[in-house]
Amino acid sequence: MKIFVLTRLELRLAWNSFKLRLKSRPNILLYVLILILCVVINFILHTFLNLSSRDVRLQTFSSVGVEEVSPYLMIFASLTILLVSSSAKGFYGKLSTLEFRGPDLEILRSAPLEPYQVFMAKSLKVFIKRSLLTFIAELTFLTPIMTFFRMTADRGIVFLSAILLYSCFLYFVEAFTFLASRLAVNLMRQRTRTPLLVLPLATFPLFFYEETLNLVNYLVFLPSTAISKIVYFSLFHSVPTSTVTYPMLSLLTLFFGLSMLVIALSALYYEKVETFEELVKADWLKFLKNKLKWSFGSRHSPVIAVFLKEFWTNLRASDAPLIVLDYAILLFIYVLNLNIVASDSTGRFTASSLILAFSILLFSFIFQPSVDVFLAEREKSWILKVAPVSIQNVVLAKYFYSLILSLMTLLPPFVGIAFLAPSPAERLILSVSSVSLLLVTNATGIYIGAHYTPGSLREEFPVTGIFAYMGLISILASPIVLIPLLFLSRPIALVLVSGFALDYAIVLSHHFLEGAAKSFSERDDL
Amino acid sequence: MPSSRYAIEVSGLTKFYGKNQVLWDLNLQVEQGTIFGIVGPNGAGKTTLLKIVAGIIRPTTGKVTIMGRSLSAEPEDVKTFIGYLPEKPRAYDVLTVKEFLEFIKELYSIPDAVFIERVEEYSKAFGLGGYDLSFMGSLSKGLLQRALLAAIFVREPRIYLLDEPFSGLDPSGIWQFRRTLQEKAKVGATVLMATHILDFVEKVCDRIAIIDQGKILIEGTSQQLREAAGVQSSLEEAYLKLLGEES
Repeated sequence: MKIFVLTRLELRLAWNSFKLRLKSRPNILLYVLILILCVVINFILHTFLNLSSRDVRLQTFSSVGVEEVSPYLMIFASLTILLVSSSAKGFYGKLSTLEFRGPDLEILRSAPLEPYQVFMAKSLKVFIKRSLLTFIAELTFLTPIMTFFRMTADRGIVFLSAILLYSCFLYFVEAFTFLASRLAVNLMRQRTRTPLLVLPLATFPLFFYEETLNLVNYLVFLPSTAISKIVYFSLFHSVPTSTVTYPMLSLLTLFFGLSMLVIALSALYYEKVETFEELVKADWLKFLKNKLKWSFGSRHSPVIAVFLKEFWTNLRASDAPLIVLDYAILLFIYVLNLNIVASDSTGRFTASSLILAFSILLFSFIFQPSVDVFLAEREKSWILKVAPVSIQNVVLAKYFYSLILSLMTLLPPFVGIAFLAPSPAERLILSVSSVSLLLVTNATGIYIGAHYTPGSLREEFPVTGIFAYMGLISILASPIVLIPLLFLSRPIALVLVSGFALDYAIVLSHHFLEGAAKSFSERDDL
Repeated sequence: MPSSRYAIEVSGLTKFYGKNQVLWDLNLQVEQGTIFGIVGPNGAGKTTLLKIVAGIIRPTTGKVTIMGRSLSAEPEDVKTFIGYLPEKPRAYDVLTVKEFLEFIKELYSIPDAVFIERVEEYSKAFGLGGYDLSFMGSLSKGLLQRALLAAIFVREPRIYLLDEPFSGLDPSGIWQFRRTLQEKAKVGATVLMATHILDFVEKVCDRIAIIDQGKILIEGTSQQLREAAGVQSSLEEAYLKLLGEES
C-alpha cells in the first residue's frame, strides 16, 4: 500500500514541477504546438518532394520482399533504432540513476519504509512519465510518416507499424529497464561487482517477443507475413546477408548482443555512481590526477581553459562510459546498413536513403552531448559567470568541445560510409552534409542547453527541448541535405549548391550560438 | 581608468523574477577599503543584490559601477576586480583542489610564479594542506568553503563579494577568515558581505546596511544603527527592533 502512496507522491511532485515550469514559461505549450505542426508540414513537404523525383514503389508494398523496401523504411528503421537506443541510454545512463540519487532519498531512507517500496514507487513514476513522453515523441515522428503511407500503401500496415513500435518500446525498453534496475539495486546492496550476473536478464524479454507479435497480430487482424515484414524493416532488416536465411535467429542474436552491452554498462554505471567516493575511486583517468593541462603549449587563453575544463570534467564524469554505448550502437547500425548497401543480392539503396538516414542519426547522436555541456554547468555556472570571460567565449568553448566530441564519435562511421559511397557526387554530398550538420546540430544543442536547462539536474530533459530540437532540425537543417540531393546528377550545380549548404550551415550555427550566449547571460535561475 | 572613492556604487536597482519584485529602487555606495555588511531576514534580497553586483544576473533597471567603471558596459574588465563566493558553493566535483585552483589561475590569467606563492600561502592559511589531491566533490561542506575562499584569495581581487561566507566553517576557519579579511581591508581591498551572524558583523564591519523586502532600511556604522534603534546593548537587539521583530 505504501508503494501506491509513494507513487502518488512522486507523480504529484512530477506534475507540480511541470506546472511550475509552465507557469514560469507560459508560452511553452504554444511553442510545442507550433513545433509539432512544423514537423508535420516539413515531413509532408519532404515526402512530396521525393515522390516527384523518385520511383517509389510503395503501391505494391505489401506484396514485395524485404530486398525491395523503400528508402522511407530505411529512415523508419533508423528512427526506430534511434528511439530504442536513445531511450536505453537515457534510462540506463542518467534518468534512472538520478531518480535514485535525489535529495529526497535521505528523507525517505529515514522513514519507516522498505528500500524496495521506494524503488518501486520511483520506478513506476519513471515508467509512467517515460511512456507518456515516448508516446508523444513517437506520435510526432509517426504522424507524418503515417500521413505519407496512407496516400500510397495499405493503412493496416501503417497502423500496425505504429502499434508495434510503441509495443516494442514498452515491452523491450521500459519493462527491460524496470527489471534491470531492480536487479542492479540488488547487486548494489550485495556489493557484488559482477555485472555479468545481470546478463541473463537480457534474454528475458526475448521470451515475450513472439508472444507480443502474436498478440498484436491477433488484435489488429493482419496476416503474420505483414508483421514479420514490419519487424524486419523497423528493427533489424539489414542483418548480414549470411544470416538472412534465419531471420529470427539474427534478430535474437542482435537483441541479445545489444541488450548485453546495455545491461553490462548500466550495471557498471549503477555501481559507480552509488556514492561519490566510489565514483572517484573508479575514476578511469586516475593516472591523470593533478596532471591536467589548462592550455595548449604556450597558448594561454580563458577560452582554451574553459574548453579544457569541459573536456576533463566530462571525461571524468560518471556517464562518460555511455559515450561508448552511443558509439557502439552507431557503429552497429552502420555496419549492418553497409551490408545492405554493399550486397548485390539484397539490392542497393539509393543515395538519398543512406544520406537521410545517416543525417537523422547524426542529428540525434550529437544532440544530447551538446545539450549536456550546459546541463552539467548549472549549479557551477557562477564560476564562469563571475570570471572575466565574455559569455560568447564561454559558449564558443563549449561549442568547440561538443564539436570535438561529435567528431570523435562520428568520424569513423562517416569515413566508412564515405569510402563505400557509390559515386563521387554522393561522397561530396555526404561530406558537405556531415560537416554542415555537425556544425548546425551542435549549435542547436548548445542553444537548447543554454535555454532549457531543467530546474534541477534530477529532472529529465524537458519536453520542450526535445520538440525544439526536432522542429529546429527538421525545418532549418533539412535543406542542407535535401537541396544538394536534387542536383545529384548535375556536378557543377551540385558543387555550387553544396557550397551554399555549407554557408547556410555556418550562418545558422552562428545564429544559434548568439542565441545561446544571450539566453545564458539573461538567465536568472543560476 | 576613472577613479572613484567608491569601490561599489549601485543606483536605482530593481529586480523582477517574473512578476515578483525582489529589489526596489535600491541605492548603495561602498567606499574603498571598507568592510561592509549586509544583514536582513531571509528573502530580503541580499543574495540577489550580490549576484547582480558580481555580474551573474542582470538587474531589471538600475546601474552598477565597480571602481568607477560600469559593469554592464565593461563586464569582462570589471570582473577582474571581483572575487565572489556564492551562498551555496558548488564547484566541479571531478576536479581536485589543485586542479581547480590551476583552472582559476588560467581563467584569471595569474602569472605562474605569483600563483605558486599565493597557493602555498592560502592553502596554509585555510588549512587545505593535504587536500590538494582530493576531488572537490569529496570534500566536506566546510572544506569546500575553505577551498573556494582560497580560490578567491589567490587572485587577490580588489573587491570581495561574500554571501554567507561562514557557512560550514569551524571556529578556527572563521577566525582565520576574519584575520585574512581584515588584512586585505587594511591594504585597500573592499568587502561586501551578506550574513546572518550579527556578532561577526558588529566586530568586523565598518559599515552595515539592513535590507528588508528589497529595500535598504538603514545604513551606517554599528553605533549609528544602535542609536537609530534606541538601544545600546548589541547590534542584534537593534536589528530586531529596526525590523519590528522584537519580542
